[in-house]
Amino acid sequence: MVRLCSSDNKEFVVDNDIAERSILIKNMLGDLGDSEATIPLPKVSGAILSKIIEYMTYHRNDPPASDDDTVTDITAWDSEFIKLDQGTLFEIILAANYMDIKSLLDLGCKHVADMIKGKSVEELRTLFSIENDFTPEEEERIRKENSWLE
Amino acid sequence: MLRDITHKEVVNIISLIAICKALSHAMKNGKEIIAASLVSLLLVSACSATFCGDSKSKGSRIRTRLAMNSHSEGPTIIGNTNDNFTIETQNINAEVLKKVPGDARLVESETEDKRNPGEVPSSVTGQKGSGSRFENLPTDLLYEVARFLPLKEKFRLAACSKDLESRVHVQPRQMAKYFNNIGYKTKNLVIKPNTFYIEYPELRYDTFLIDFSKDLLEFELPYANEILTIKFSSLHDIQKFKTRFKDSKARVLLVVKEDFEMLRGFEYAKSINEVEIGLRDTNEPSGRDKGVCVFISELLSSTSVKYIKAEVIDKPEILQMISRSLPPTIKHIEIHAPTSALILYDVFENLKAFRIESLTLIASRIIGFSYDDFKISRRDGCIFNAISQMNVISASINMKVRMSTLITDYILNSKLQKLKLSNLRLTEDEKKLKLSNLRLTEEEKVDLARILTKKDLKELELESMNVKPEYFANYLRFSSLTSLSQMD
Repeated sequence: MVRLCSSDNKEFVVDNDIAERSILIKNMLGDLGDSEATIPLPKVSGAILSKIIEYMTYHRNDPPASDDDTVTDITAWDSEFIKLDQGTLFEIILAANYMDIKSLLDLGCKHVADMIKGKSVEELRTLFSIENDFTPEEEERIRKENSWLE
Repeated sequence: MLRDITHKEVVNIISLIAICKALSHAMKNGKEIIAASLVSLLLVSACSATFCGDSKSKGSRIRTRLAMNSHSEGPTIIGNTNDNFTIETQNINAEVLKKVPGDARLVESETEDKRNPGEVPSSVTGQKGSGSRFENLPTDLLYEVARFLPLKEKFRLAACSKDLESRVHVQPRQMAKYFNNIGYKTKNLVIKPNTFYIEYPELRYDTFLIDFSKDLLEFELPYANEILTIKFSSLHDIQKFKTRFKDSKARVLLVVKEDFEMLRGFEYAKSINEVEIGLRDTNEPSGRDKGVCVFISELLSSTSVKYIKAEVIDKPEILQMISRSLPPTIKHIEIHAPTSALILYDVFENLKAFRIESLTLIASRIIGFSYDDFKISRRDGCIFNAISQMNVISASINMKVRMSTLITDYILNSKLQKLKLSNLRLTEDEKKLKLSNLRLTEEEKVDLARILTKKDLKELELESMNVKPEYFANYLRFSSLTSLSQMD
């Protein structure tokens, strides 16, 4: 069993095979060589770590992902799992990147990409609360630059 | 490297300055005893400051080493990894075990938060502020998201704000500028069409497609060349390109045509991502065809390609050879080949050994079957779409062809727009299909009923074949992710 300590001092005890879905934890366990040691995850809050452990537990028996693999098939479970509010979704992506869980990172990024697809610039600004800081002249320039793709 | 000065160190420095000033003042006024006392005090303070500095620097090195370690072996670190990174074990005075999802146990720590008052928490991810907005994703992660977007969507996203423009837009824009600079007109750049590939075509094929030119070797490719597919027509050119750009991430497409230079030397074959073979019957001596067969066989078995497109018109022996020489990595196959049913049968038999995700056969004629058998309307060609996992399909070729043709006909007539055959796997043990055997959710049953009427099932001869329920269920789940446009 491995103890994982979140940024807000919440400790989670998980099986090694679950924890080692994270390459970061796997490497740290290898470095420490002490199975009883607590692994600090100072960039992941308890709430997010709990979600990530849920993901790692479900995928504990998956074959290890290689760098070349990119998520293409999203299972129904993954699809439900990633239905999160934007704040939590981005935090999961950041944490998956930090903890080096490629499949979860791909899942999160793919989900964000799906949110983006088919939306106009205005719709995207509304969706992500992005402030339009272009001048009208700059917007015109961008429109011209992009016209060759349309 | 500079490090932050702690409060204690500031106090020490101020004390030293004050003592020095007092010492100077005492010496000026001839107060030797006071001066001597101040000197000893100064020495003690200096020692104290030095000791303090040493211990701090040791701690700092530990922290740095750990941070570097996690940086080098782990993922991209968000923010400053040195911030509050420590391996001090938390003092757990009491443990309250709670069940959290999965097999993990949450141990509630009653330890006080040891952060100094006003100190910013180290967790970026725990905050709703900086980390929880799309625009605040680090650039690396923006690229990760953008990787799943077609070019048009990338441009649209980039047009949302200056920040996003500078971070998302830079790749395609630099690429366009680059090719303009070296003589390629942007408008002539071809975005590779996604007509062939079924699954998320924008993921892998949404790239600039250009022909290899020796001019390319004279310029420095922009770093963002993963959005580029370069079409090569000789292995020698691939070698030259790879020698010049060792770390290039551009996709490599090799096109083998009649005039292909059949030079041996496959050491760069592993860098090929995709192969297109286009051979037509040119009434050449058969000796050339034999040579081509051997060459293609050696070439394909030296690669790790996932994608192959073979347009082999009236070259049945080459089609057979291709199907026998595919590398184990092959996932997607497109065949344009009017051929005989026997050849097709042999090809399908060879493909059983692979885990094919999509197979597209475009054939204007298949000798040995009549159109009447297929019950298809008059068209120039018929498309057999996506027979997946062929090793588990043991239905006769006749039946498979008929099934594929009929269902394709339905797809083309928009009756079965969402039908995707890649998850249909049929067994030879034909049993009557009973919907009740399909362990479907209510939603899936509704979908199924909408897509397939009983008449459809009968006409498709599904009634007399066993469709494994789980595959049908899978197909229905995936069907929401596909569309006719992706299949065409």
